[in-house]
Amino acid sequence: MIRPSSLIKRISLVFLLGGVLYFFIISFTDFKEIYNSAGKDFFLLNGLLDTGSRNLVTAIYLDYRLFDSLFEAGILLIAVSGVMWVSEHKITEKNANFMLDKQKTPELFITFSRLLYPVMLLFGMYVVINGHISPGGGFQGGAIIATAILILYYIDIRKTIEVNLILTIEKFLFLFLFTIAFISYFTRGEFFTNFIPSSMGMDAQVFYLYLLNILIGAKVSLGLIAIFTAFLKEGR
Amino acid sequence: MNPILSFVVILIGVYGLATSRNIIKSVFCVTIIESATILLFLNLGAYEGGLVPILTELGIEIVDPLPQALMITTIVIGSTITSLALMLCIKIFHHYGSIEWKVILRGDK
Amino acid sequence: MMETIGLILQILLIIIALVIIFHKENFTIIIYISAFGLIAATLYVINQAPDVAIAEVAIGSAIIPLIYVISISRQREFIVLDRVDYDQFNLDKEVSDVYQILTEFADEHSLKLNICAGIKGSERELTRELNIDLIIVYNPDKQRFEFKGKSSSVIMKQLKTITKEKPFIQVSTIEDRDLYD
Repeated sequence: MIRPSSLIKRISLVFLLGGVLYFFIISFTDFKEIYNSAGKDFFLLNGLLDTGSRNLVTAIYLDYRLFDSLFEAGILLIAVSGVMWVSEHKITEKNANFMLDKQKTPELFITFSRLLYPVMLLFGMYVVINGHISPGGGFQGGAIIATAILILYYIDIRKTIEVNLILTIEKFLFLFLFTIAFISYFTRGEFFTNFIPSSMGMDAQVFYLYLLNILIGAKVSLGLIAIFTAFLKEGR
Repeated sequence: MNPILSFVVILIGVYGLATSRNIIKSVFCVTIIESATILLFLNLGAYEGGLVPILTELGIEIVDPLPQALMITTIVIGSTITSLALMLCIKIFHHYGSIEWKVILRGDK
Repeated sequence: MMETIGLILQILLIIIALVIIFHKENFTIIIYISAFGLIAATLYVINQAPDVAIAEVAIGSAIIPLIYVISISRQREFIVLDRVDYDQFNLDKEVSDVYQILTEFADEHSLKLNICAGIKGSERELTRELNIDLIIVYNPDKQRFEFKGKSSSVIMKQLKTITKEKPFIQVSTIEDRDLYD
């Protein structure tokens, strides 16, 4: 099955990758000398006082680098719209019944999914809201909520969620996120940061983190649900 | 030792991507490369004796929090790329009738 | 202690990556992808990064394998639409021949045969929207069955060579729309 010409090509590819690995090992041995810890010391000294969150990773992607998070939300929107445009998911009047689709999921799966669904939803919301004091945040909690709603498809595969409503809500959430990032120009004088002025103390700056975490969590979960529904309804 | 082993996984993923027979296996290899790259970046920031970057009390030694914040967005973007690629794979199958690279690239001969 | 666990897990990661690229069945690789994501998440925790570990478990071990399962199971089926009016004509022997040819053809390419009936619509629309691969119509004037499918599909060419010697089957193709607007 493996012909001689393709065997020569595979062996030369292995040698080429071995050469790349050799160069990586050579250039890596003095990594510890060029590593400086100026960035880490800055976050350790000023992270809690500037932003009000104890989780430094949340402080970075919600306050110091909000620009990157906005564009990440934009990429999610573009990918969801790309999947929606390619797939054919609006077929409602044809009433197509295929022979192999009439299988029934076992009773054990249905009962177990009914037990798990509210617990997973509650855990996802807990991870979203407590993003600034424990490991978690908007992106992680959004993925957990999306998995919880995916379990609904196990229970009854014919009840799919309306996709157009989800997409409209998601677009409005993205615009709202952008507006909140711009408000900080009027209260603090610089773009893309916390809009509550720092004179109000650390306890009042936490509300901004709550609001942004909930918005990002809702946006990520709705996007993943829309992608999965498009996959299920493709051509049926 | 640890960054070198993660780099070996990246190179295994590149080899699999170059010599894969059908479309779905190429998308599997992209997922492998992405997870191994994130492991490489996190390993470069961690050192012995550093703790998780959550300040339960002040004045503790932490690892660098900046690579972790960037890698979170990398995971979400990687998953959206995979889903878009798989939707295109379904469409290619329904148009051409086969999922092997050689049959699709050969065309109507 | 933690270092030796990290070393063992990374060697396990290399072994699972080798198994993924050398295995042949697509459907069983999905379990290996899920295990790969879980072991990677454990390694992230050992490198003091619990935020990234939660994201990797939720996305790389729960959502991505589900999407792979759906897309792989869609690529294994061969959809046939039957539009022959069985009450009007008496065609028992020829119909069993036709279905025997179709079943052998589907088994040879390891596809699953998915038959449906009773859908209204023009043939062009159906092959484009519902992804139907084959439409069977009976032509009473010439006394033969007609198979219609997409012209760009590789399967139709193989069907043409198989049914060349049968006098009661004729294969014709429908031109698909232009893909680049």
